[in-house]
Amino acid sequence: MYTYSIDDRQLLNERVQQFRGQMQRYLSGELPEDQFRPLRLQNGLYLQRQAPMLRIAVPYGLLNTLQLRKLAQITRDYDKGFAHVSTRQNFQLNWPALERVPEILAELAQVDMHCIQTSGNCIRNTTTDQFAGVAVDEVEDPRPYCELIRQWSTLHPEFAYLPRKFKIAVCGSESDRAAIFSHDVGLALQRNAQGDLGVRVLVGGGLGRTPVIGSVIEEWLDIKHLITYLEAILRVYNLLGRRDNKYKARIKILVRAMGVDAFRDAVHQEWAALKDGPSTLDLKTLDAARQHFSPMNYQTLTPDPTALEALAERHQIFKHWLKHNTHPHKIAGYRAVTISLKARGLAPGDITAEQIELIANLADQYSFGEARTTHHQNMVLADVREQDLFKTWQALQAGGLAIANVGHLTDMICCPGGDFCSLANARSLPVADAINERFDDVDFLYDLGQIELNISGCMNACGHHHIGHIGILGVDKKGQEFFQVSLGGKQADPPQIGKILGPSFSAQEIPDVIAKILNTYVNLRHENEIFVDTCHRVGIAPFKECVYA
Amino acid sequence: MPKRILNGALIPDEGESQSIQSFTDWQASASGQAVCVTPDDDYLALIPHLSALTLITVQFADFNDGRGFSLGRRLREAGYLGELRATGSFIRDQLHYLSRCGFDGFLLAENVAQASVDASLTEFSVSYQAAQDDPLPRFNVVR
Repeated sequence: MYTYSIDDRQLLNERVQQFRGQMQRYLSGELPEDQFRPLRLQNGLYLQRQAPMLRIAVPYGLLNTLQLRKLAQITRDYDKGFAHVSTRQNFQLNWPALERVPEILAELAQVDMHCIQTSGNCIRNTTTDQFAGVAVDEVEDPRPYCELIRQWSTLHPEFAYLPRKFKIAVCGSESDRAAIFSHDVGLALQRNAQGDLGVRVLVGGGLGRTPVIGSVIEEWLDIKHLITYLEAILRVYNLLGRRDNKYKARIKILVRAMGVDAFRDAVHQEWAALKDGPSTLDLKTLDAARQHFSPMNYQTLTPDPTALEALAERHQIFKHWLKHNTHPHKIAGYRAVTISLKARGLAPGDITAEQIELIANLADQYSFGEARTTHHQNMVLADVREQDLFKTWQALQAGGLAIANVGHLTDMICCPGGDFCSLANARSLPVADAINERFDDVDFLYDLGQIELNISGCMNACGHHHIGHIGILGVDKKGQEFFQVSLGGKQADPPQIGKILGPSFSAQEIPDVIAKILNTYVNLRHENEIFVDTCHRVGIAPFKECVYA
Repeated sequence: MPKRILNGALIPDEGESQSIQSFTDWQASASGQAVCVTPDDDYLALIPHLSALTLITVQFADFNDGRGFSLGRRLREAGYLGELRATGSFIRDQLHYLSRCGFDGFLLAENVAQASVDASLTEFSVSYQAAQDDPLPRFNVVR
């Protein structure tokens, strides 16, 4: 992974110093709240319903074990002993004390971590495929380009006061696991007929109040132009994006208002002065970036599927875990392991200090000392030898981290909702918990097959409900919480926004509603047809009839 | 305490020696050396006349409105060499970013001490990306 140089560390330490001063001025009353607000947000600090929330950046979801252990220690020393993995692959602390945040930042800086630009109207953490570098369908490892984008966007002097937040996702594989169509800018690495590396550029995707699928503005852009082109997009957005209404301030609204062609023209006009300029990525820079993500020191292994199968036959729970929570690897004899953070009784994405330490230990023992966070709010050990899978599973099982539900109904994406977030209209966590309780029969879950269920507590859509196969959105009706259900959303291949089923439901009704939807699917599905494909084939009507009958 | 800064130093604000034209007046006369613009003006019209200008002030209506940052860079990139002064509702905590975008003059809304100005302008010794103060991004230098 990328290793920090003296300069990187210097910048982080200076940032900590800067925020320490700003916090002092705020606490002494010298810096008014309205001025402090964007400064604290760009250091990840929210003032929430019950306590402040601090969002810690995990650039493109990659962590080493030193960082994991520091996170565990911080959750113990400054919080209640657990943290939360967000859909931007970041870590969140829900109960830090406001005045201790500069100390937390200083602790994070010791392991090359920070909270820079994890909130506020600026360029946020760039996200990517959790299987980057190991996926079998990969065209190009996206991490070197994510790292270049991280450097370019970090403390960018021109783009810290944008009309609204700005999110970039990069994918480098055939199957899009980074939801690039629902980002302000989505980048897909591709090779052209000559074998040269380029990027397909999407702009103006997003969820929130107005869900939009991103539009292609460049089919293939030579990789060397990546930064200058992004700079041009951001400048056009900074200058022309709406600032009069925060619900109309995202770039998707600008692109829609201008039209994709006019937007592209404006970008090209701005780009003309930057193209081939000093921020162009030359071969030496690209090579240096790739060096940081060169392949692990893999062994040449002869896979022994019969040994694994024999173990699996003897341990049925392991068999399920092997099937659902491990994934093919580009190197023979290795698998990628998803650690589900969707156990019953804990909020989706929540993880205790002890569990973080367990993952760190396993990463050191079995996965080259690295772990990853996913935008599905899980974690990944990307490089585990097949012969170590059983030991890994046993250790995860002992730590409550071996729930074999990845890709299934209870592997939900869910925002913290009204229990924590001051923007939320409804409490999403109890709904997630009720669904988890109702559908705890694993045989039924496995029979249902692949289903993505996403829950947001308000229309800001942090829980990505629009692109869930089943989406649940919390709404407020005259002070009461209700939940709207949508069906048929998809993050990719091709991306789709779910269709609203009809009038909303109370929290208590939701498990029954989901049960009816699932029964309808089971009755209508063709052999091997997954839920979302049935939705698209039969349309929403049969589901509606059953639910509102 | 004074509120005006030029090239990092607080200077007494004894009134302007030259008159600063509004953008509309400047457009009407197409002469004069000092002009005030806002991001809503057609400020690109200044570009053919930049060599005749010695002062451009950029009015910030709200410190959260970041258009002025891009405006500054555009004028510097077009070759403007005179004083580029931020005025209006920007805040001290933005001095570093503003200066990286090409601003060398500041008229703050509130009084400020030289030590605070120094702290804000020099709080970072490292930067990753190209800007007005450094045309080369670090990733194309250290590798």
